[in-house]
Amino acid sequence: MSNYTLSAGILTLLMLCCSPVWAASIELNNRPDTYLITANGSLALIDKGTGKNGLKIGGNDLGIMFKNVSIDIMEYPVLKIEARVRDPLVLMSIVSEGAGGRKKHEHIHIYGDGEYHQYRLNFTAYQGRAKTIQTLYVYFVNGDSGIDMRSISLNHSGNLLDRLSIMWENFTRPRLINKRDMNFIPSPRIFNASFITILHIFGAALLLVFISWRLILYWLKRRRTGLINPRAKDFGVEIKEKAIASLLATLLSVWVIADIRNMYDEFYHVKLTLEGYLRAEEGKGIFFDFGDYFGFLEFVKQNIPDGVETASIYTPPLVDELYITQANYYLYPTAAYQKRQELFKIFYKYPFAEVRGRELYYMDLDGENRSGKGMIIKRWDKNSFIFLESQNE
Amino acid sequence: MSKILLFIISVIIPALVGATVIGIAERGKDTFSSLERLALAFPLGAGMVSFYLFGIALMGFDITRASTVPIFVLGVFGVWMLYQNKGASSTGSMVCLAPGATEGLWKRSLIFVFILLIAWKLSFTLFSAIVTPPLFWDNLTCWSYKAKVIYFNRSIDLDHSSKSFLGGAFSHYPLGPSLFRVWTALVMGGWHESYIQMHPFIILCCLLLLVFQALREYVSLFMSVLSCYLIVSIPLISIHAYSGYADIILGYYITGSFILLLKWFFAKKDVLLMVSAAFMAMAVFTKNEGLVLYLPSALLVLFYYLYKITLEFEKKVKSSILYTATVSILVAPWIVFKLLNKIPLW
Repeated sequence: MSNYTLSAGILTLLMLCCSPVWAASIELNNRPDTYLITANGSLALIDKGTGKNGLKIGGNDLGIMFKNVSIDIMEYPVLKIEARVRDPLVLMSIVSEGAGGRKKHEHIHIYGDGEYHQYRLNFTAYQGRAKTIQTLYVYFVNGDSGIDMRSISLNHSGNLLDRLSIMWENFTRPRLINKRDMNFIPSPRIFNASFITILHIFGAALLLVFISWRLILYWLKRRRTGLINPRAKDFGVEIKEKAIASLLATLLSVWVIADIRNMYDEFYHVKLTLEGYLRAEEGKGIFFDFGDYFGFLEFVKQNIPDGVETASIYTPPLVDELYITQANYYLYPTAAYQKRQELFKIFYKYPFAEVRGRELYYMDLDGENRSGKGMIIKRWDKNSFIFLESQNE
Repeated sequence: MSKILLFIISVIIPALVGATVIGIAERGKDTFSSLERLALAFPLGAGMVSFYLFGIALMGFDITRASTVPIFVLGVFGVWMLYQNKGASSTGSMVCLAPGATEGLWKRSLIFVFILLIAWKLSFTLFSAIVTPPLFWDNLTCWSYKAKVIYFNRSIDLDHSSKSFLGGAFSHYPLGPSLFRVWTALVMGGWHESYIQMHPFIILCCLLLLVFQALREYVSLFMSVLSCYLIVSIPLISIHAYSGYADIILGYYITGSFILLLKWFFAKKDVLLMVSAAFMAMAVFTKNEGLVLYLPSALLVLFYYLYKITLEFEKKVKSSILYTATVSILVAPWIVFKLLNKIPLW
């Protein structure tokens, strides 16, 4: 090997391993404008000094908000979170809000072994033009024992090896079930392109190489046999057949590879469903980001007094309206309403309701304080119960 | 009686009904192979059950467990018919043009791999159908919701001004899938979510069987298995099959209808045309796309074919009437009801 070649090889290796300094990392847990999102949806400012040694999110808290992030100074930003949890099915939902108010989100399952793990999210892959992120939310679901977040930072993704490692982590992260899955074909991101797109580009390139190679071989063979000008008909037919067969084989290979990746998500889905939902104590199963909501609905259904046709339902702040639709479906023939004052009341993890004796004190969804006399039919947990208000009291 | 046993009965009875209808339409001439019969029977029977429940509701009857008796009787009649015909050999509808040429070792290995992949896909879908709570919008607000309303009210509310009119939501949507869920709940004696959601999954299995059998007459075993794998591995297929949506059901009826129509082009057997027409009617009673997109396409294809081929005029007229009459008889009550109540056709 010549000295020139050796030098070029060493230089390439150094370039792959070294991190060019483009931008310093932003330690989000040690900045101003960091807020704890409490159980009732309100924001509690976290002192800059408090966050220096990590952040602790309580079992009832909803997450953390980082305002004024402004990562427009950073190329290829990567979000790194070091966290530990003790519960089995804790989901971390990362929501980024751009300058125009547009939100994007990603769900990550956190390992519930009580040890710290690092989770990296390539913003370029998931957020497109990531330079416009202003606010970052990190929500936690099913973390009843609390979440310890040792560090959270935005970093430049470094050298090529670093980026490949992050790309691999993002690629192998299973995609969890999502109600939006009905209308989208899920596919992991490779840098800034979807895996399916990458496969097709790869397939097309492979096909081009293959056909070119066949053409070259055919031409060489014809030259060797002395037929320099083969009859156009034979030449065209053979190449056409081989090209079609190659095209179909390539497409099939691309399809199978994409499907195998999809099956990986399915395996993980089965695993988490078994661990969190099926093997749990009856009624306490956790179903992904719905938590124990389905167990709660079943509990309500079994305890609705006869003759109750309508109910008011109160759900935690920031939850999807799908919760109300599900309640309406599950509890039928009892119809569940969110903004009507019915005598039969359902509170699910609602932090603004309290019962003292026979008196119920709560805040309705319009922010008005209300009260009523009645009785708790049954209690699910501290903030979840069903209450029947007495008429004419 | 255990829930599983009741659920099995709720599936077998419509399958027997479907087999009975096919048997009657064949008029003693075996047209379908056993595998085809298996692929066609349940979807045909499930569609007939939906039409039946709608029909009795229109006549003013309640939909209760007693309403299932005629279907059970027809199902038992189907058992008797099967017993009577058990000695008859089935020649199938077509001569197999690809009678299983020996596949090479690598193709046999690939067949085995694809079968494993199909098995995984179906197992995952079955697991999810049983375990996943109703999660997706259309199922919660339309398909299963309407079924629940009908089941708990023990009737289809035909009063236009009522809140629970035609199931209490999306009154312009057909009731096919919802009524079969009502049937399942009636037979099981209660609303059991895991079992109610199994209908699209069973239809998916029937679809794969139908496609396999239809292709097997023309292509090799490898291509038939590969085609089934390509269908079941479409990314949204499994989620639609376990989420309780109606799209898989619609997909089966359209696919079955066109497969049988194409078979009729070659075989010219009336039973093929009638079952094709019945499937198209069931597609219309499943989703509005059946009426707007697929029925016109099928009629266009049929009439153009009849126009172009060389056949006696009387036979052309008979075929046209057979197809359109079968569709009309089955789906007319629904269409007429919509027109009389000024419900949008789509």
